[in-house]
Amino acid sequence: MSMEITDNAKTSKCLGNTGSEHLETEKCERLTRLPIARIRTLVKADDDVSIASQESIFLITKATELFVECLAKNVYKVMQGQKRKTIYKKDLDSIVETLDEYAFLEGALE
Amino acid sequence: MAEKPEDLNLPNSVIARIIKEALPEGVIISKESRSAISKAASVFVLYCTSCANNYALQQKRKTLKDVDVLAALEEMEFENFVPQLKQFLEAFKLEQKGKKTALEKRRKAKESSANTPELTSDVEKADAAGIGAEMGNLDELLVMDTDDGANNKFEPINSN
Repeated sequence: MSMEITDNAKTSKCLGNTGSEHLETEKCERLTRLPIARIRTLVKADDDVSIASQESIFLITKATELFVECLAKNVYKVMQGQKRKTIYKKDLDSIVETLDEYAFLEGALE
Repeated sequence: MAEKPEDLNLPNSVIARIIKEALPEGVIISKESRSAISKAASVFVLYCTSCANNYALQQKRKTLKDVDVLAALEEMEFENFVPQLKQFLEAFKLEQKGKKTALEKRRKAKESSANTPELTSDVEKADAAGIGAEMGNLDELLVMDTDDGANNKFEPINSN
């Protein structure tokens, strides 16, 4: 158990302690927060996809949760230096332009 | 993407909760940016699916598998997600295994409980005629025992 917590802290850029807590709580309760069925609908919307395994849908669901968490934290970093407490869309636009991993979102959020 | 906006959106409440827990207390996120993050999440799913599917096709497979998703994330520059996702996947596989075992147990229990009433009915049917006779025999045995007890069996050894 302790190894998992250490690994989580080391390997995850975005999820410090909250990540490990989530891992333990989620093991006891539900494994996902986002509904797997909704993700499956999105995956099946791609005509090129014929069949998707249960595990793959689960992974995409979890990855999306991590993505949202990471995105929120990255957006927060942008406005952290400033005196305001509210995150605006412009902060999101800013990281889409500057961070490579969010380049796929260019033009998608308008 | 604009064809069915309702179907392609993820539940706002869940997205909002994930964002809230990711941010320190006191930080407010505007409705517009929350909506944009939700949209971004949907786009992420579609992009991840597409990348994963390409990987599967490269491997000459038609089924999208977990390895394809992990490979896609590396390509998308989200390789930092991979270690944690692998742990989650193990937990998921265990859960699925547990569910399967529970389902099998339930199925077996149903089968055994289904068998028991049949037996009873068979006994009832087959022995309906013979029960009275059997009972009668039993009564005789009991009577015999009692008699024996009165004469021999229940007398203490010491008295002999």
